[in-house]
Amino acid sequence: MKTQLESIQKFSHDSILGAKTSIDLDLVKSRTLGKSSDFNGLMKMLATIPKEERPEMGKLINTVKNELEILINKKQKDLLKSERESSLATQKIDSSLPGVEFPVGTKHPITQTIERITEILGRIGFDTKEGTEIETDFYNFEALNIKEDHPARDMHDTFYLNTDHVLRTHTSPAQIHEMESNSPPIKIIVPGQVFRCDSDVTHSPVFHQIEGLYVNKKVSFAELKGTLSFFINELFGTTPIRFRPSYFPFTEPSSEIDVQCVMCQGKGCNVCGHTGWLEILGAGMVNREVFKSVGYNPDEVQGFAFGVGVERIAMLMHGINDIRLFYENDRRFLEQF
Amino acid sequence: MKFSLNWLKEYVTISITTEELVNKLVMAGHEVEEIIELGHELKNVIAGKIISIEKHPDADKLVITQISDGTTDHQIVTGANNINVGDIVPVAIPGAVLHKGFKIKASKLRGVPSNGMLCSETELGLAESSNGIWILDKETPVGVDFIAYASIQDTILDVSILPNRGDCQSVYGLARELSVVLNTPLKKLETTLTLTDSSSTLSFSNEGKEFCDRYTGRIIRNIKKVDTPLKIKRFLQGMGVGSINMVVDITNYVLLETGQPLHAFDLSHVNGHDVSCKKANAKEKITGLDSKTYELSTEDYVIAINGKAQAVAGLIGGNESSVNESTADIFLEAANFFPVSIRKAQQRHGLRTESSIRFEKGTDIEAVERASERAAHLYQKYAGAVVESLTIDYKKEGVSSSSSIKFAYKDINQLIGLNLSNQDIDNPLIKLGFEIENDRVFVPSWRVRDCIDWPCLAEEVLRINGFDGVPSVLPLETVIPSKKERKRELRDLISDFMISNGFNQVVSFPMISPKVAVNQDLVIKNPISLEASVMRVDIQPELLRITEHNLKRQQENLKLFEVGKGFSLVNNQPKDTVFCEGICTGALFGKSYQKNVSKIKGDDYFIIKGLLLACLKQTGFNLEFLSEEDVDESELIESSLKNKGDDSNSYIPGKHTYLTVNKKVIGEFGILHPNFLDTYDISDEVAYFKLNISVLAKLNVEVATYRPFSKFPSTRRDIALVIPKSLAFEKIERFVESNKPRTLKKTFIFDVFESEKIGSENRSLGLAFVYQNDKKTLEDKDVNRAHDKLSEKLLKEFNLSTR
Repeated sequence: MKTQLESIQKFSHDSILGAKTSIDLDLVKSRTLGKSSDFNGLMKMLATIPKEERPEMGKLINTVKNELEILINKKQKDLLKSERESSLATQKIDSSLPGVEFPVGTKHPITQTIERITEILGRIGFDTKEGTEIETDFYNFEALNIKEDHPARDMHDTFYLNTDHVLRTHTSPAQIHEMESNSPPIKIIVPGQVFRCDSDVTHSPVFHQIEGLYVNKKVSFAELKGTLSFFINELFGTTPIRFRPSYFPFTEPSSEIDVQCVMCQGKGCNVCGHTGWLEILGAGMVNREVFKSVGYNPDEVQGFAFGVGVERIAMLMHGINDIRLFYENDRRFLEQF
Repeated sequence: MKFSLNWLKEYVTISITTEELVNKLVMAGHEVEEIIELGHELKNVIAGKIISIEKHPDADKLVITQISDGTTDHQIVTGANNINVGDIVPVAIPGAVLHKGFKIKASKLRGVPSNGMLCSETELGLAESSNGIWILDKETPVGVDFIAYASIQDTILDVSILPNRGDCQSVYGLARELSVVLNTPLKKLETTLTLTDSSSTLSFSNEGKEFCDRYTGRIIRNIKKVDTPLKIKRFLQGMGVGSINMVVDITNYVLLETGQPLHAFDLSHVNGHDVSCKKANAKEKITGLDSKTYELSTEDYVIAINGKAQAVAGLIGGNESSVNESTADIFLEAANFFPVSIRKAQQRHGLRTESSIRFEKGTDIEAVERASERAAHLYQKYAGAVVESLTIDYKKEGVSSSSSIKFAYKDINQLIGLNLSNQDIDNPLIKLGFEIENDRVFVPSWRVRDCIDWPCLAEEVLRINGFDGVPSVLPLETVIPSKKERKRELRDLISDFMISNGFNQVVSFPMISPKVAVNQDLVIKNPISLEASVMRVDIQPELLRITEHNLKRQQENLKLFEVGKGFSLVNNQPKDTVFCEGICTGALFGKSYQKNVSKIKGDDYFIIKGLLLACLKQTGFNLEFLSEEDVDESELIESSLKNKGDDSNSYIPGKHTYLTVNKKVIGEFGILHPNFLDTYDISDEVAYFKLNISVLAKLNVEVATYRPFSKFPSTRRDIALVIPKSLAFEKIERFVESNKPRTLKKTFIFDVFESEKIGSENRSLGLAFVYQNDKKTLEDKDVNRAHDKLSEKLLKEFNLSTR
C-alpha cells in the first residue's frame, strides 16, 4: 500500500507541476483530490489493512494529501498571475491618444488681478469692501476736497446721469462711506469699476481701481511707504520702485509710485515711454479736509490712502497691449488666462 | 505745458544733461511728458547778403544770385521771387544739413553752377509753410552762424503741471522751481524803465468786488514799427505761440514768461473814457480776438469802456478795441481775477485761452505790476516806446498777497515718519520762498492758493529733500479684517463653480444701447456714444452682445458667464443688484471622439437645470423649480427678474423655469426665444440663466446636521411606464412622494424615450425605485409587497400602463 501511495504521490506531483493552464490544473486537482481520486481509493483500502497499521498509514496518506493540496494552491496562484499578465498584454491601448475633454473654464484676467491684489493686501490686514458705482457729487467730489470749481475736476472726465448722480470717477468715494459708518481704526481696500469719458488704446471709459485706506490715531508717510513697498514687491517680485511727488485734492502730501519697467528693466522702451519707469499707484496722507467732511477731528486721526489701476497691472503682468481686449471678451482671449 | 530750455536758461544756469534735468523735474513733481529736440540736425547755415540778382540764361523761373558772407561771394541759383539786392537771408552753404536731414551740396541748375541754397523758414524747420525766402532784419550780422544766432536749436520740454501748481505755468515760475531743485541762483527779470508821467487820468471802477482784486493800466506810446526780435520769436515759437506783430508778441512773451496775462488795447479806444470791471448786461454781445461772437450773460465779468464790454475779463479781448498793424499807442492791462469765476466762464463759453488757463489756477497778485513793467521795458528796449507810469493802479481794499500757516516741527516729522532737525525742515522751505517766524510760516505770494494747511509744508519738505530718506515701515497695530461680505462670498463661490464647469468668465460695461434697454430710468447725459448710454438693469444685453461677437468669429459651443451689477431706480434712488448670468450654446462637453462623452450633447435646457441644481447645492442651498404659470409678477419684480416697462418674454414658452430657494424666487433659466435673439443677430439656440445674488445673500443657510444612514443593502425595482406627453413628470414625482412606503429611499429616472411603437402622443419613462431598511436586510417578499402596492396605486392614479 505504501508503494501505491508513493506512486500516486509521484504521479500527482508531476501532473501538478506539468499543468499549463489554470483549467488543466483544475482537472488535475479533481483527479488527485476529488471523490473518484486515487486518494479516495486509498482511503477505502485502509479498511483492508491490519488494524494496528491503520493509524500510521492514515496519517501518512493525509500528510501526502496536504502537501499536494499546498502545491496545487501555489501552482494555481502562479498560473493565474501569468495568465492575467498575458491577458493584460493583449489589451494594449494607444496611450498617446488624447484624454477625455473635461470642460475647462477661465477666470477673467481682471478678476484674477483683483484677487491677486486683495490677497496680498489681505495678508497685512486690509479688509475687502464694496462700493457703489452710482454716486452723488458729494461722495465723488465734495467730500474728497474736490470742490465744485476745483481745476482737479478736469482730471476726471465725469459721466453725469439724468438723476442728480454721477458714475464714480474713482473708487475714493468708498473712503467716505467707510469713514461715515465706522470709526478708526479702518483698514480697507475697495475694488471696483470706475468711469471716465475717455477712450483709446490705453484708456477705456470703464476700468477698475482698487482703493486702499488706513486710518488710525497716528499714521505716517513711512507706513504708507512700507505698505506699498510690501505690496509692490509681492506683486512684481523685488524690483526697484520710486516715490515721486504728485497732487491729489484728497491727500497731502501726495505721491505717485513707479516701478521699474517690467518690459525693459529700466532701459527704456515703448511701454514705459522711454522713461524706464511705469506709474502704477497714486497715494498720499489723507487730507485734513476729508476728515472734516466725515466728521472726524483732523487733530485726532491720520491716515493714508492709495489707488491702483487694475487694468494697468493686468496689462503689465500678461503683456496685453490694448485695454479694449478686456471688454471685447473674445473667447480666444479669455482662454489664455 | 511746453517749455523752451533756452528760455529757462535765461534765468537759471543749467549745467546738467537734459536727461538729468528731466529726472530732477520729475522727482520734484513736474512730470515731463515729452522731450522735443528742435533743429538739432541743422548745420552750416549762415546769414548772407544778396549782392546781385541776374536772369538765368536757360530758365525763366530761375535767377542767379551772388551772396556775400562778408569775406567771399557764393553763386547760388534760386527760384525765389521775393528777394532783392541788399537783403540779408539765411544761406545753406555746401555741406549744410537742413530740416529733416536734407543735405546741400554744390551742383548745377540748368548748366549754371550753384553753391548752396537760400532758405525759407520751412527749410529750417521753423514753420509748416512759408511765402518765399526768409528776409532777415537789416541788423543781422553778415556771415554769422545763423543757427546759433537765431537760437534755432532748442530743447522743448512738455511738462505736465499739476493742478495746484499754477505758479509753474510760466517760464519764470518753472525757473524759480529749478533754482531750488538745482540749488543755483535765480536771475532777476530785467525791468529797468525810463518813465514818463502819466499823460491822462483814467477813472477805474470795480463793480466786481468778489472778482477783481487788482487792476492796473499803463499807457505806452510811440511803439516803433519794428520786427519782433528773432530771439523773442524763437522763444514764442518753441512754446507753440505764433508771431503776430511786435505789440502782440510782447504781451504773449511776458504772459509766457511771468504767467501774468496782459491785454493791450488800442489807446484810441480807451483814452479819455471810463474803464470799469463789471458784470455784462444780459445778452450783450462781443466779438473776440478770434473773430467769434460771444453772447454774454449777467454771470460774465467784462472790462468795459464807457460801459460797453471791450473784453471778457480774463478770457478774451474784444476785436473792436484791439491793437492792429498800425497801432503805436496802447493801454496795457494787467490784473488779477478770481479763479473760480474764470473757470465758470470757460465752461460757459467753451473757451480756454492762454490767459484763462492761468487765471483759473490762480495767478500771483504780486506779478501784476512786475509783468506790466517787464512788458513796458521790452517795448522801450526794442521799439523805443515812451512808457508812462501806471494810469490805473487799483488794489482792492484788504487784499493781502501773503498768508501764514501755524505749524509745529514735531507734527511734520510725525506725519512723514522722520526725525529731521528744524534746520532740515527750514532749508527747503526758505529756498522755496517761505519765511519762518517761530511757529508760523509765511507763504510766498505765488503759493497762497496751494499752501493752506500745515501738511503742505511736509509735502514741500518731502518734495525737495526727496522720498528716499523716508523709512519703509509696516503699520504695527493689528486691525482684524472682518468676515467676507456674504454677497462677495457667494459671487466667488458661484464663479468658481461655473469656471470649474467649463464656463469662461466675461467682464462687460454696465452701459448699454437704448435699443436693447428695457427702460430709460438711468441715462448718461454725456455718453461717449449712444451705444453705451443707458444703465443696464441686468447683464443680459451685454452677455448676448459678447455671445454674438464670439459666434460671428467661429467660436462655437460657448459657455460664458458674468457676475456683475444691474441698476435700477427705486423711489428715485439708484439701486444696484448683483447678478450671475450665463449662456450656453451647443454641447456642454464640446465635441469628443469618445462616444460616451459626446452623448451628453443635446438638450441645453436640462444641462442648465442640472448645472444650477449642483451649483446651488454646492453653495449650500436647496434649489427648487417653479413653472412660469405658478409665479406671481410681484415676486418677479421683487427679485429684480422683471422690470418696469418690460413686458417682453425673452424665453420660449414652456422652456422657461423660475428658481426658488426657501420659497423665494432667486433666478430663472430657459431657452431664449429666437425672435428675441434676432435683435442680436444670433441664430444658434441659446440656453440662458440668471441668478440674483443680492437676494440669495439674504437667505439663511443652515448648518448641516448628521443623519445616520442604513448599513444594510438596498434593493432596486424598475418600472417602464408609458405615459402621455401631456403628463408632467413632476406630477408623478409628487404622487410617489406622498404615497411612498417607509422603505422607499430614492426614485430616479433611468430612461426616457419616444417611439412610434408606443404612439406619438406617449413617451416611455423608466423609473427605478430603491428600497432599504435601516435595521435589517430587506427580504424580497417585503420589497415586492411594498413595490407592487405603490406601482398599482401609481398606475391607477394616472391610468397608465407598463411596457
